[in-house]
Amino acid sequence: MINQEFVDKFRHYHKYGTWWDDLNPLTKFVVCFMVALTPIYALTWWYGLGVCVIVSIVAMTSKFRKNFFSLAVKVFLIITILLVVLRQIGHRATSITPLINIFGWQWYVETLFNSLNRASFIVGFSVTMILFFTTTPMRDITYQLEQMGVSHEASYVMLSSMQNIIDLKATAVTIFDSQKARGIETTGNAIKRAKAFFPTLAPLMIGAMQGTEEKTIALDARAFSVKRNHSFLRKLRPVQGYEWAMMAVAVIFNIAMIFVSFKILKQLPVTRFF
Amino acid sequence: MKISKQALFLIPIGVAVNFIGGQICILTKLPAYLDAIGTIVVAALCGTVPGVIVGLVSNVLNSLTDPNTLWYGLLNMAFAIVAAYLSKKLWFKNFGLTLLSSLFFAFIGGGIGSVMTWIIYGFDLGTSWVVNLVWIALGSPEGGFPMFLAEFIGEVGVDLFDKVLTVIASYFILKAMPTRFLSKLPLGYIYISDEDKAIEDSAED
Amino acid sequence: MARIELKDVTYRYPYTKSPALKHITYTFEPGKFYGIIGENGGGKTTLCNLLRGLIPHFYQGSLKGDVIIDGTDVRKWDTDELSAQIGYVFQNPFTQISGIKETVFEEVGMGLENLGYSEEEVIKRVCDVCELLKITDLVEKDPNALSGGQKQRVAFASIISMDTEMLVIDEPTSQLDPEGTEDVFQIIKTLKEEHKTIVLVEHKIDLIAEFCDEIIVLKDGEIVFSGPTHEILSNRALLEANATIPQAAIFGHAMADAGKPLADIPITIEEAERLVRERKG
Repeated sequence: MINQEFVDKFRHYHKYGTWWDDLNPLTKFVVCFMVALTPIYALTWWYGLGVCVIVSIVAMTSKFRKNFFSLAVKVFLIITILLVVLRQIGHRATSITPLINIFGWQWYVETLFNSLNRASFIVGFSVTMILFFTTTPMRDITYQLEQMGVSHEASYVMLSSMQNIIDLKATAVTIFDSQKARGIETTGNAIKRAKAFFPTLAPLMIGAMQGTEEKTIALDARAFSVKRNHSFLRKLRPVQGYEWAMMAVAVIFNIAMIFVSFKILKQLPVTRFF
Repeated sequence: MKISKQALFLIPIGVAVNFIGGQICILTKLPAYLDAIGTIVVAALCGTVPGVIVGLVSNVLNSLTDPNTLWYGLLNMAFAIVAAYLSKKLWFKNFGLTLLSSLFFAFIGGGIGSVMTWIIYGFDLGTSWVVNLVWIALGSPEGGFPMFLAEFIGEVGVDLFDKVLTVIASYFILKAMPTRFLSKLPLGYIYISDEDKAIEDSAED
Repeated sequence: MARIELKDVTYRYPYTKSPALKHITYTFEPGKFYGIIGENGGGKTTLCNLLRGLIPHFYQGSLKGDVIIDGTDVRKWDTDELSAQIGYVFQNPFTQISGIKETVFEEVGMGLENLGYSEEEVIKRVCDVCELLKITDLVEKDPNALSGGQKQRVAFASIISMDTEMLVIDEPTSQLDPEGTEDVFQIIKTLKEEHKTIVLVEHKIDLIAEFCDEIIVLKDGEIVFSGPTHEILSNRALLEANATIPQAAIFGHAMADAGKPLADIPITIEEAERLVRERKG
């Protein structure tokens, strides 16, 4: 017997059960993208940090928070640390206020804040977009795009790419392991390693490409290219009235931040909140 | 815009091939990315538009985990345009010209890439250690060596090694494609061997 | 619908020297069940591609003669629309999974979504087909993570759910164990009872013998034998041509060779049993 509870789910809009996750993908995208652009205008470390904090609070309410934090924390730390350290190499000429001296390597205050400001631009954008992508599965995105008139071929390309990556990676790892087990050189110098791998992995790539011939036939048999209106087993709630309002607010906020950034923030000394 | 069915279904594979290249480098600890093989092969076989889509989709998927890479999507698309053009000029049928083509790709990947990095990172060095090493090795900061030039040289250098491996892989993949498969792709005829063309011409019809 | 006429059809794949099908003339009647047998490379899959309209729309090359599908020349058919008329299941289960659906239930329903059926209709049909193919315990699973045999059942279910008048089935049991093979044949039998036109390529000759109305034997791209199942499979020439024939027929020929012929050459175990019993009686 088929699990009727499972089948019944297809009779309703798909629900994740949390407020943020159940927003329409379009709403999530517009809000995130509008907010993500603002740290780029602001270029101010405390503003970027603030965006990250607010985004993290929203992410806490999501079902997908684990995915969000594992990615966001990585991006945040790597970009910030790299920029801060590398800038201390690069910015000597214009720096004036000494910060610390690490075994003869002089750090400057202005350089530190300069790099933090720059990091806030990249990190603020990235973390906000990570919120969108980790809390919105690709098939939700493609579903909404199809609702908005994008062809289902485009959906296929996106979804199938993701599945192909998973499948081919698994095969690549299997080949790699069996190569190792058979004692084929997987270490040694770079040329040696490259030589060992082209002959085994090229067939994997070629095989996958050739497989598209059958894939074309198989999808054709499933009426993939028939020009009719499609129906959808899995459906998402359309954009609600209040979601339009959220999007409008996000757009207005974005435009306002352009003015705030160039009129006010740029006038502040970089170390103001230090 | 009409893309042939076979080309359409090849796009997701091209994207996956881009990712597998990267995967191989991680597994073998090869100091390269090899993340443009799919873009170049699909562009060479199917033309500019499918190639550009492969580049674009690869980039969008990459930016799911690191949105910062989104800006570099332009490079992937540029690879596709150049690859489709060179393919039509029969460059990938000749090993020497194929090797030469890596210069173009390295110039795009490293050269234009460094300009973008330069802008994104605030007209300063990016987060690449190699670039910083180049800069220091060339005597800066004391020597006053221009930072942008360091970025440029560093990135083109790193990219050239990568792109040489990439075009070699692409060359052999294109060479290994069976005729039956090639015959269904828009630019596939370029890579069909003369023997097979002779068979078609002399077929008992 | 689903009457297909082939008139002196010769087809050659692009960039190959000789034709894969030569001078094929045959008529496929609605509601009948056809078995295609013959050696590998004999043109079985090419014939399927022809019946499904993939030749000449997907496979270029040179097509001569007439392929008439439901009164209209195949060249004039809209190839996409044809896919809604003729179902096609083939050997490799891995390429038949779409790779874009998260559950088996949605995978099986994909064809129906593409055809725009209403939500309730899709749900009902998918449920029915899953029951029929005994995959109800798989519906919540990820289709990409199934075994080869399971994928084959899901691929089969995906096509059956579309309820086309005609089905072209190319070795649907290649990945299945004997039990699964028997299941698939029971389903094909059910489809036959629903008066679908079925064209089946299958190596398991005993199953062909049991279910098919007519048989086509292909060799080197040509039809060497064709006609009602019993007539063909009991033909001594088939045995002499070294073709795979049912165990029961081998037994029948052996009995005849031993000077103890049965009243007829049996092609199924049941027939053999009956004939042996009659002979004794």
